[in-house]
Amino acid sequence: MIAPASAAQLTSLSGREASIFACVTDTVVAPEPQLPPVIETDAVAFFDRWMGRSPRINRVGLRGLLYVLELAPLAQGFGARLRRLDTAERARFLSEIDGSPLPLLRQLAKLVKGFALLSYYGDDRVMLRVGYDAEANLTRARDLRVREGRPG
Amino acid sequence: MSDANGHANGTRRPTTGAAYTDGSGAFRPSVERIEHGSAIPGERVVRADVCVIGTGAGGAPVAKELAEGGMRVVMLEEGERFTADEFTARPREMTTLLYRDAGQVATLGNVPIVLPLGKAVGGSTLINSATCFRTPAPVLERWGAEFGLDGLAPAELDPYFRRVERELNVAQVPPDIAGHNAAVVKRGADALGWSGDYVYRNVRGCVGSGVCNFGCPTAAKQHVGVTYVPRAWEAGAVTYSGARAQRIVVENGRARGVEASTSGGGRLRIECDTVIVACGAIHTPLFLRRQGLGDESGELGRNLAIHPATGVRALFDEEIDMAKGVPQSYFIDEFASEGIMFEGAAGPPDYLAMSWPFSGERHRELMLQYRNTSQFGLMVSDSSRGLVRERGGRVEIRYDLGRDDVARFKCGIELLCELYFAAGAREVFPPVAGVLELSGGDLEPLRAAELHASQLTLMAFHPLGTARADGRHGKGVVDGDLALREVEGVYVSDGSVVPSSLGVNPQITIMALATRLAYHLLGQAPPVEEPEPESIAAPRIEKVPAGAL
Repeated sequence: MIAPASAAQLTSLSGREASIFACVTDTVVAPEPQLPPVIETDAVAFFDRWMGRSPRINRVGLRGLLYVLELAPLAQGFGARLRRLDTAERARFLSEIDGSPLPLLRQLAKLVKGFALLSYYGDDRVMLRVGYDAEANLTRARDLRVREGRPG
Repeated sequence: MSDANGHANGTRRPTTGAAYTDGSGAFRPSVERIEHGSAIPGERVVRADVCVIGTGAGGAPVAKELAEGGMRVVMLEEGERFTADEFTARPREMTTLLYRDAGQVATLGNVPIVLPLGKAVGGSTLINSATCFRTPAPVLERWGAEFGLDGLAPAELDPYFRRVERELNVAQVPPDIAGHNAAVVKRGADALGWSGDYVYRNVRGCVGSGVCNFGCPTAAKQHVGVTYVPRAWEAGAVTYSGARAQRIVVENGRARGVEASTSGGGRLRIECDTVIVACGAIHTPLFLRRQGLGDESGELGRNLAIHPATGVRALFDEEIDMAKGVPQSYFIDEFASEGIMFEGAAGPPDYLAMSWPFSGERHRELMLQYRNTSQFGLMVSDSSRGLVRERGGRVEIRYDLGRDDVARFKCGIELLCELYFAAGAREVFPPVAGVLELSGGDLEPLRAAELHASQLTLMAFHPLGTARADGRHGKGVVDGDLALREVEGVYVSDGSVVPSSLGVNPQITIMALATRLAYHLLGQAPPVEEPEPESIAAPRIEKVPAGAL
């Protein structure tokens, strides 16, 4: 099963919530083999920080959504919770939600997917792999400011 | 020597080439008059002539002009001050720092719409695309006709726009910094014979870092937090950051001050006879309503327009590399009179990741082609209207996208897909559930689709109209001089007073109205010494789209 980066470092999420989020993220981004696995990125740690800066009501709602996603496969006949399903079954579950006739369910799934995608693809190593070198961009900007004496 | 309008002749302000790329000339105040609310744990009383609540596009210009006019000005800002040293060129991180509610503000309605707002000294100008369009003339004419707003004809606002554009150094993006994303879109527009141009922006020395919406790491963006706010300090004004205005003190029908709480747990009391509310179109109506102010007309919090927007993506065989160049560097105004404006929407991969309507292997496959991906935006001059209110202490933004606007989106998305194929795209991805991919130039699946609001993926960046100005008796939340009805000495200066959709990015409209308000309060005639710009953006908007007022 997918473990969060480090439960001890979490400030907003519980270890269980972090594990569910890591599982959802792995399902949504399906990183391997070309991209780093979720566990090797800071996706979960970032999501934890993001939750810490979110309004309380949003935090509560997102936590609830994570548990809904964890348990929904049971209700939909997959025979196990999300984290107990294999990769192919998780992908099939997500696909079913994407194609749900219920707009609200689709929108909520889209919301969680958005959090997962931003959290994962914002990792420096992942961005570099797909073609954006954030550190080089920042270094260029800082050098320019020093060279031209621009304000800090 | 002066021209027919009294403006100084022979001093045209450069707006191209080095005017855009030269990084020198940024204003540096001799003193930074900013006090952090976290350092104010107790009670403090400050005397001033004017208290401006908010330091964004509406608050900062009026504060600076009043301070330079000799008034004692206090600016209250709920957010903190951020400088270029703190910007990391990493969108994900910056979103949690610079955006209100960590970037999670959204509307409720028949389609949820993400509505990013800045929360910092400089307001949303800190995180916008720096795009500058004057208010289209047909819109101003309609404001006069429909809302009795006299004195807002293009020629009457021209001195204020000139002043704002000079303060911000508004200049046109040169093609070599515009990025290849703009180049391929321009190629498509040219092939179809559609009108477009490079965007005018408030920058000094922009090199196209590609992260304008997440804090400019080169300090090139001339947002109001590095222009108007420091100039206000230089003229004696003081900013209190981390200071949230709680109420306007009213005695005998006239403003007498403002009470604020600080992030340090303290209280600030500003004693003054003039209060300018500039909290933005979402929070200004809520702030006023909490005190029972501003609702005489029944319009407070209503009439919310947002310029809903979306993006179309396309894959090319050639390299695009959206991380390089100005993200919003080109616009296409061929259909602007129908309420459809196309503007650049490039950026780093983490934000693109959220835009793809896929997950799993297909999503990964597309992300690995990031360097060959182009994205361009579509903004609608909306006729739909929403409202802002508080429920159980929570902000609720209600907005249903109406049928006319859904039709505009359908038309605009089809046109943008057509443009991408004309530009040589291999595959095109409309933001429409049920029609996820198009290839071979075939638009038929999209054209045949019956589009509903809930099928769209939307964002919006320009909340307007929730305390709208109206010159007619008993109408509007503020009058034509932006004075709040009911209470003497209270004015509103932000996007909430803008009476309707503009069809273009609103920041310098808000700033020009703020400057006009300052001149009004100072009892001064419009500025006549402002240099005429060599050129300004001239979008082809010949009429106001149906229903947009």
